[in-house]
Amino acid sequence: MDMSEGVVALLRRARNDQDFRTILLRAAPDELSNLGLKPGQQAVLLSNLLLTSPFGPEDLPNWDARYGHAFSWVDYRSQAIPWTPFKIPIQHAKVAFITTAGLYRCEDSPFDTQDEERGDPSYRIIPTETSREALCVKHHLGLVGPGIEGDTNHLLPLRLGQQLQQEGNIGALAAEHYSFMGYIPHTQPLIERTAPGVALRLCADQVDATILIPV
Amino acid sequence: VGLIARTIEQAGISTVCFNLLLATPSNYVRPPRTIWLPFFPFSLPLGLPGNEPMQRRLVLDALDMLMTCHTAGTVLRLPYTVWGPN
Repeated sequence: MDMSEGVVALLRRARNDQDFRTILLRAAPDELSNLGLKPGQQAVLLSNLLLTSPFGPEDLPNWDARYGHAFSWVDYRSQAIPWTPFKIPIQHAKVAFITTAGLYRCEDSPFDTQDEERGDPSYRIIPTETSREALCVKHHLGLVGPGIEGDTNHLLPLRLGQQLQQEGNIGALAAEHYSFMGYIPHTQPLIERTAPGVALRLCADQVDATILIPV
Repeated sequence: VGLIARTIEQAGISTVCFNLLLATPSNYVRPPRTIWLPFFPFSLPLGLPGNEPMQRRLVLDALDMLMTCHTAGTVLRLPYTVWGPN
């Protein structure tokens, strides 16, 4: 079973049952824990319940106070921030996208959503010309998926990138884009191996700028 | 995505990260350039499926940040919602 199937089931029920939705939104963190939801899963559940329909400021919890430390962030607060100045006109720049939506070409192997301790640090290459029918999604958040007719541009906007190129808003869209599965508690393989691997490929493609899209 | 962005930036390529809901990840990981969407839930990084105007707006915002941001670690907060109007 994928790690977030419980969250997906609760979301489905809440979307069809207003009373149940209200109960979930009013539940205290320890009550949600009693449903088997870890803090990170609670953040996924509540943010999708609250923020996908109109809300008022009074509806919103202090997300960072409640869930800011639900995940183990690598702490770079005392380290320098890498910086490459962007110097060329954007109309001449080659642009690549990176998503952590767990997208992959259906002919490739899917991401591992079972390893709750380590996650999956691997990446998949998505060539620009990949059709929507050729893309699949496998993410530990089971609610991440394609839209109508398999559209995945809300996760990796390749069609938009092609439009921006045709309109002259960017110089070119990169030949390849990259997809990770955004659940990697054990970050060392990502930092030492797979992220540098993607960086090398972007350099080889002479990419000028990369836009990173989390899930 | 912040860890990946830092690696790519170290390799000499400029980056912009989106960041959903929480401010904490950017504060800890410190990517070079971040667009923080505090009202976007996990799972919907560019809005609801099929909302192409939202996708365009966000990607153009990212391109604009590339051109206008000159300070490492900048976090640009955009108070958009996935359901609009924005």
